Amino acid sequence: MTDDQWDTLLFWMEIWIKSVLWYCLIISLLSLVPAILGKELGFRRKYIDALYLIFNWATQHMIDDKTTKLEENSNEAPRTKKRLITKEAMDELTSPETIIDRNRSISQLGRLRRESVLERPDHVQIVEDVVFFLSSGIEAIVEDEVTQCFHSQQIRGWNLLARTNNYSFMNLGLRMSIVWIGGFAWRWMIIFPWRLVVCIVGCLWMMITMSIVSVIGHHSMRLKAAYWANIVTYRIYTRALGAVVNYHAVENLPMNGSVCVANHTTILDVITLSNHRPYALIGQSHGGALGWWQKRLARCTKHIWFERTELRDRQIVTNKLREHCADSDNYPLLIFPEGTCVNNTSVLQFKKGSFEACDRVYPVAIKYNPWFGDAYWNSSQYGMMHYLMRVFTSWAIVADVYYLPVMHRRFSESPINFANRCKSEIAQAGGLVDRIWDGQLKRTRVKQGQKDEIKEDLAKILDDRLVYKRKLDKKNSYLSSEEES
Amino acid sequence: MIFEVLCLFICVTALTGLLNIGRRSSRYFPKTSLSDRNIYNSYYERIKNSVIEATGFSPKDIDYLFRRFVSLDQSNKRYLDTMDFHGISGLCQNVLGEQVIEMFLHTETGHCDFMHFCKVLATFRKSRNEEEKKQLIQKKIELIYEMFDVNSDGKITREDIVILLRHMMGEKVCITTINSIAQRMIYEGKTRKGNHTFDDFTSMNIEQFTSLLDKEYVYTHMSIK
Repeated sequence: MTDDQWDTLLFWMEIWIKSVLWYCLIISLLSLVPAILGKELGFRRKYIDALYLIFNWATQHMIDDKTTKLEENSNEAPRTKKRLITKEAMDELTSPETIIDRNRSISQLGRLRRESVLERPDHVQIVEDVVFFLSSGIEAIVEDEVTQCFHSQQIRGWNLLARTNNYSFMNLGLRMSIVWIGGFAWRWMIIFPWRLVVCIVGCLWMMITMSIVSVIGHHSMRLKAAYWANIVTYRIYTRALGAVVNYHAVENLPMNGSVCVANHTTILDVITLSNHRPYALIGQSHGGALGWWQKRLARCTKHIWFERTELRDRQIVTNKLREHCADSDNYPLLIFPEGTCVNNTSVLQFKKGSFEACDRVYPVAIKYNPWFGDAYWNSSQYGMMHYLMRVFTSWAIVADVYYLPVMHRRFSESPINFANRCKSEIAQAGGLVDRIWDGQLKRTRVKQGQKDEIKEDLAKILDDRLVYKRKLDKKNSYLSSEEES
Repeated sequence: MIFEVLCLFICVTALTGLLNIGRRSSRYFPKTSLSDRNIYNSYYERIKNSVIEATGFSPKDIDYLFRRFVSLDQSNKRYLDTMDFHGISGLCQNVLGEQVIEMFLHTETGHCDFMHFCKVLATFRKSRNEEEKKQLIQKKIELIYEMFDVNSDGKITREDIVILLRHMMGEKVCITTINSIAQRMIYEGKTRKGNHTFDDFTSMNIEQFTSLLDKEYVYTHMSIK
């Protein structure tokens, strides 16, 4: 290459590097300053409102397209759903869609007792029971309650992302394709680098401030500095995700020295909650990038990290939890009792371990709005980095956090019942379905003992029916003898 | 110009490298290679039309069932066997789970291919018009009959019913109760059909069984979707 060419090359390199640096600086200031001050500039909320309008238009357009296509084909009756889709209606469209009218699953065994018309003769009831079990078996084959909880939630519309493949987006018209390409460019070219830069700024901030804080000697000043460092870190991370979080019932904010339980959808739950106040985390110690992050956090705040094998030793775990809760300077311990990530339409069984350790529990319900981005992390399908890229390139993460009033364990209540009580509160507040299944079932099988229990229950139901029938016969014969006399 | 390209190349490799670092092991759900998935899909395309004809499901339903079949068939064998069915937790808790699974599997091979899977599920359909409804009800009753007929000899005997009930309720159930229920069932079946011979009260055939059941009940309670 000649000298001239080198000169022009260097010239353009300089301009490129300078513009990138200025870009990063502006982004950092725009995200760092509001994070430190704790104020929001309001850009993200306006962005969310704009997105609602766009989704509204897009779904309306798709319905129009569909109706015109149907009228052309004239095979089915055209759907005339030409209503304007408001925010509330959009929430309706996100309710979990099930294939089967689920009133015959095994957990409805109690209905056998109530519903069976006891005036019918025994042998017909037996056949009805057989039909019941047959149908619920087939239902389980067609749609399993447990695996259903581990697929991403489907929405009945389209949010202009190719990943939610409800509508076969091969049949888009020209207008929609252009809009989709525009959306794609916006998300990948403009927003994704922005968010990446903010994320790096957050990591830098975390490293620097937490190292400084861990060096401070004076106890109460260190606490204050740690609080501030933590919360600003998480505020920066929230901006990195493009997350908009609404907090409800703030008067129930968890206090120090207690336990906070929440439903688990993703690893980002931590960021969503910690945006408001810092928590002490407890979890499995990972390797790789996540492990590095965990070690950084552990520098200035007291977190509890476990190996998975250690979890088996119940006593160690319970002691550590108790120790943590007893100290009222410690942040509330954030526990996800489900033990695994669920797809945010239902709440699975809460493990009783955390409810044994502490009697004062603050339940929190977290509900993500699936229109803006799928927050669910299917850890067997995506690795961590892949998942983060999906999150960075979705429109946004919109979450509603509901703080529920503190719950105490009653005097003679067992931890399991306490756990179930908390679970139903959380499910109700978040609009989620309350299920009895254990989240670990996605990895293991059902135990044999449960089936035997059900068989015994059935035998008991049969006996009950006989007793009832004898009473009924007695009553009838008594009445008829009364009539005669 | 070259510099830009070089930077882009480095970024792309860095990104793919990062993607690989964080990947969790997929030991729980074995990942299928692309060629396996293609073979599966082409197999599906070939049989799809014949399945639609044989079962009467709509194409959308067949698509859903195929996805479900694929997710159940974890080692991509193109058929299901008992291990796959035992992976469904709802079925494991069902007292008649074994019988349900037996309905699906062929007796000799112990396998269930997609055509058979859809055919069995087709009996649980809702019907679209009146004549279809009668056929469907008949099929549903036949299915229940098969379930009761434990030794598959074409008749339901008292022993059949007793075995089934003992299986459903465990071993602790009172044997006299079950015996009386079984006896009553056969008696009612025979008398309703108008067959008043008193000689043979040990077995029942399908017409008599049918007369026992309330048809509407069967239809409503055995229909899914």
